[in-house]
Parts: sequence; structure tokens; C-alpha cells
Amino acid sequence: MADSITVRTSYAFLSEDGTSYERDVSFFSDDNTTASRPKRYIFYASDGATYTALDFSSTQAYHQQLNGAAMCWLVNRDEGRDMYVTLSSASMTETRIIKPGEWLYVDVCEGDQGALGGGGAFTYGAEPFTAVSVFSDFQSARGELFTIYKAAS
Amino acid sequence: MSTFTVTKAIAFTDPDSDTVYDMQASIELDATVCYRDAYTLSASTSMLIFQNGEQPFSTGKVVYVFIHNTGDNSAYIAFQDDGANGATQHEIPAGSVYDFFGQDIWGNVIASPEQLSLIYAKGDTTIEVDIFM
Repeated sequence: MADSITVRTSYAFLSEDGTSYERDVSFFSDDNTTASRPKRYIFYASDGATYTALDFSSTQAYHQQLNGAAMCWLVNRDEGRDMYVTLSSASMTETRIIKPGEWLYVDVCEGDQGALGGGGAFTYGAEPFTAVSVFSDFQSARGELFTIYKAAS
Repeated sequence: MSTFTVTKAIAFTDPDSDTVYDMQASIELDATVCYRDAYTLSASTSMLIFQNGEQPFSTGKVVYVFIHNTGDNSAYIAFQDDGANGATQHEIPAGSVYDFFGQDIWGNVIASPEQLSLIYAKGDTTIEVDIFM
């Protein structure tokens, strides 16, 4: 039996001249697979020291999600402090600055990194994440993380 | 004065225990313009869907990007910042939404944040892209 994860993203924008843009999209992140191993927790990104918010491995543990076919959503729940998030794989180091209230969402915890060729050519070689690491400046920043593993049923 | 609110919610209930793992977040952002486009991508050739400072995009910081894969196959996107860092690439499965906030986010060294410069996309699918600056 497939266990669906519903992801809904919506926005409403009204410009100064009265032009409006709206969007409301829901998709089933796991419509044809089986969701398992959900993790949802609050964490505090330390000031000056990198904290591993989530590891990825072939085995599950309190701080580990299974490799590859997992979804991950990280929200900066702090009211005033930026959070620096690094997504790592074998050859990828992707750094994000997540400001208060912002988030980082990946539907599949895989990525790649490399120089673009002519015309923006690139070859996507999916590498599973090895870790999601965070830290903050000056003082600890409060965050929340939600991840679910999705495997073929 | 413009107004701009983004909300994301993920809902999942464990089928065995009925434990609810729902989570929601909402944020108000400061943006002045929105660019909305739809693309039919190629499986083999990259398509440029954003370049900072090139018409019609104004030069400046991207506030928010919303990419919806409206087709039946995966899309693949590559982000390039304005530094000397390699383009980061991700997959957007069919039907999925990939969204992110664009101020000072790109690079591979936290000490020197970069500005979003280019976004390329490819895949045998269609996407809708909304970019706020």
C-alpha cells in the first residue's frame, strides 16, 4: 500500500501597481512508493561550530536517514539569526544561507556539482547526500528538520 | 506597497500508528517584481531559464524561486553563482516543486557568499518557473 506524503507550496504576491500573482501546488511526494522512517525534530545550530543536523547512511539511526531517496525539509525557526546550511555529497558542497523564517527543501536527497560546459551543458550524476550540516553566527539559531525516506514499494 | 507571502506544508500520517508528522512554515518577503514563465525542456540540451541582470531580469538579489515540474519525467536544474564555484545540480521529479530563497545563498565557502547568477534546466518534461526579485 502506497503511503503518500503531501507537499503543498503556495504564495500570494501583490505588486505596487496592483498586479497579482498566486500559486498553490500540491503534489504527492511519494505517490507510487512507500514512505517510511519519518524524522521530525527541533535543533539548535551552534555559533561558530558546525552541527550535523542529519547524516545519511545505509543504516538508520537516531541521527541518520537512509541514503538517496529521502525527502528533507529544513526550516530556520529562529526570529533573528541566520543559519548556514551545507548539503554534502561525494563531490558536492552546496552552501545556503537560510534567513529567519526561510527554508531549504529537497524532494530527493541527491545532488551533483561541476562546471558548466558551453551553453550551460551539464551531466547530472546523482550522488546521495552524506550530510546536512548547519551553524549560525554570534548565537545559536533554532531550526526544525523533517525527513522521510521513500523507497519503491 | 507590495505584499508577498509564501507558505509550505508537508503532511504525512504513519499508516500503522496514525502518528501525525505534519509541518508548516510561512514567511513574508519583500519583492517588487515577479517573472513567470513556462518551458518545454530538452532531454539533451540545457535551457537557460534565468540570468541575473539580463533582460527581462533586473540586476539584483533574487528573493524567491518557484519551479514546478508539470510534465511526466524528471527535470534537472543547475545553479551557478557569480563566483568561481561549480554549478550545483538537483533533480526535480515529475509533479514536484523545487523552491528556494535567493539572497546570498550560493557558493561552497560560507565565508564568501555569492549571488545567484544562472539557472539552467533540462529534461524530457515541462516546467513552470516563477522568480521574484
